Amino acid sequence: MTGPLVEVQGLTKRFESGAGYLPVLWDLTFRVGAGEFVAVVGPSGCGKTTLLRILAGLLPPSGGSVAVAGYDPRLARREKQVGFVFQTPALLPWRTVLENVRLALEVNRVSRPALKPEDLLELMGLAEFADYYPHQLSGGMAQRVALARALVFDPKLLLMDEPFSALDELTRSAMRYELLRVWEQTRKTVIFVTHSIPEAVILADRVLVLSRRPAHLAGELIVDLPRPRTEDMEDSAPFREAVKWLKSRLRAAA
Amino acid sequence: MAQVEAAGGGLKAPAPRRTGRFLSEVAPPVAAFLLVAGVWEAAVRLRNIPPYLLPAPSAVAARLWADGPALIAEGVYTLLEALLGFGLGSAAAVVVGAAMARWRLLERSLYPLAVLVKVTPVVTVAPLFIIWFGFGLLPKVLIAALITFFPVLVNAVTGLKAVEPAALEFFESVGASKWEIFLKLRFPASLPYLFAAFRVSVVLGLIGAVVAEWLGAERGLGRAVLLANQNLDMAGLFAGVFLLALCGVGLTGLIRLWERQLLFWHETYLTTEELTERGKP
Repeated sequence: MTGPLVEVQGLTKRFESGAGYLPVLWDLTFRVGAGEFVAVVGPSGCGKTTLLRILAGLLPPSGGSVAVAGYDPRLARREKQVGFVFQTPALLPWRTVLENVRLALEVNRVSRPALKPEDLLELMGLAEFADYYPHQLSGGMAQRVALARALVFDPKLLLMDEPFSALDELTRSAMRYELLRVWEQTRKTVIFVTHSIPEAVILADRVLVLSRRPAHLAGELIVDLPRPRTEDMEDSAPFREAVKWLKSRLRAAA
Repeated sequence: MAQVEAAGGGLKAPAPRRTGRFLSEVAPPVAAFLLVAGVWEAAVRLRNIPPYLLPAPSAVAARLWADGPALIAEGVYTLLEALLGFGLGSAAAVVVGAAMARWRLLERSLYPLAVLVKVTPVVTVAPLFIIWFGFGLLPKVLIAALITFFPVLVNAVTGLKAVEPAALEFFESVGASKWEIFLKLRFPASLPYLFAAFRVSVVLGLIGAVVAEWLGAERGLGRAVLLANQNLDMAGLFAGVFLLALCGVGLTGLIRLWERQLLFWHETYLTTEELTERGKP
């Protein structure tokens, strides 16, 4: 791990509402190292999605500073340093799987991408589904396409906003290990927002706990589990302790 | 015309694949049609209804057989008016709708007006168009276009804005321009809404063309029907109406065919299996 890829310093975000300002993020400071997998947990509606959108350069901060790969987030986005996976796959139903993955390249008129869409589908185990349409895919497959789509520019930072929350429990569990497998091969820096504490623990090197709104950092845990992670680790003592500790933290913060 | 269309079956019925199913879907409406014609025929004959009040279906059929080629030539002309008007009105509506979806101020100022005009029987301004543009093809096309315009416009504005927020956010996150978002996201996403309007508008366009012909025309089925009425030639009138009904069925059929081609991905065209398959791992 080299220097930090993401540096957040005293980040504050307020939304203008009818009467005045609604503070959402309050004086957040944290760093994420290059190649690190960080999960963010917090009570519902605490501003986790807002945080991701600021990191993606889709929303300006109200105060403090944010740097992604040394750039202002908006510049980092323009430099294709950031990939985003949303809660829903949000694939275009009139495009095939491959055409969906290619979409960002078309928009940016890139003819020779760093990663070929075909290879990305191969990596996701979707090579044979390249010509399928989204309505022919299961929820898990669609979300894997969304992941391939986010990786097409080979970004340094991958932002994931509860990407598995719409899936059933079995698929969700399978997708976690699928994501880990892809992450082991690409070693992207990942910031992963989730509601599920076990999910955060099994995936991440480090878990950040946000408090309820206005969100500030209410705790931080370094996950003491070796890589690569396997399913039987979910029964281990360090896993259970981490989950227990995060649960109590979250309860105190909510 | 409406009855003929309704007899075509439910909106969401997928194309039946097997002959058995085809029969079970086509046989009932055909039988109902024959039954109505039979009762009508019997009523005219038994009650001795004079032909200047109501002609028997057999008389209408005979007239269709005798005057077929001439009536069909008139029908083609009316179809041309309706289709040109529909094309012009729809294209203009999509362009104006796109402008409204793009500039909020334009939408806020003009959209309520468009909704108001949409529920107004626009066809009542047809006499004005005859005064302005004469008795030729142009006023018919323009009236058909005017009638087509507002339903398509209202649906275009709704459809262009009905995009999944996450899909929009994805386009923004990869730096797509407004134009690219329109071309690759908003427009394709609006197609189901547009086609819903097209199905209605294409028939409205036909009505517009017919009404415009009534007000003064040298050709067309609408004119033929009006002349037959003035001559108390009810068999001729019904023959014309029958052909107009066929035109309406043909036009909506064409729209449906086109829709099926373009919207294969939309829920309307997915089988139940494909829809239930979605939630599975």
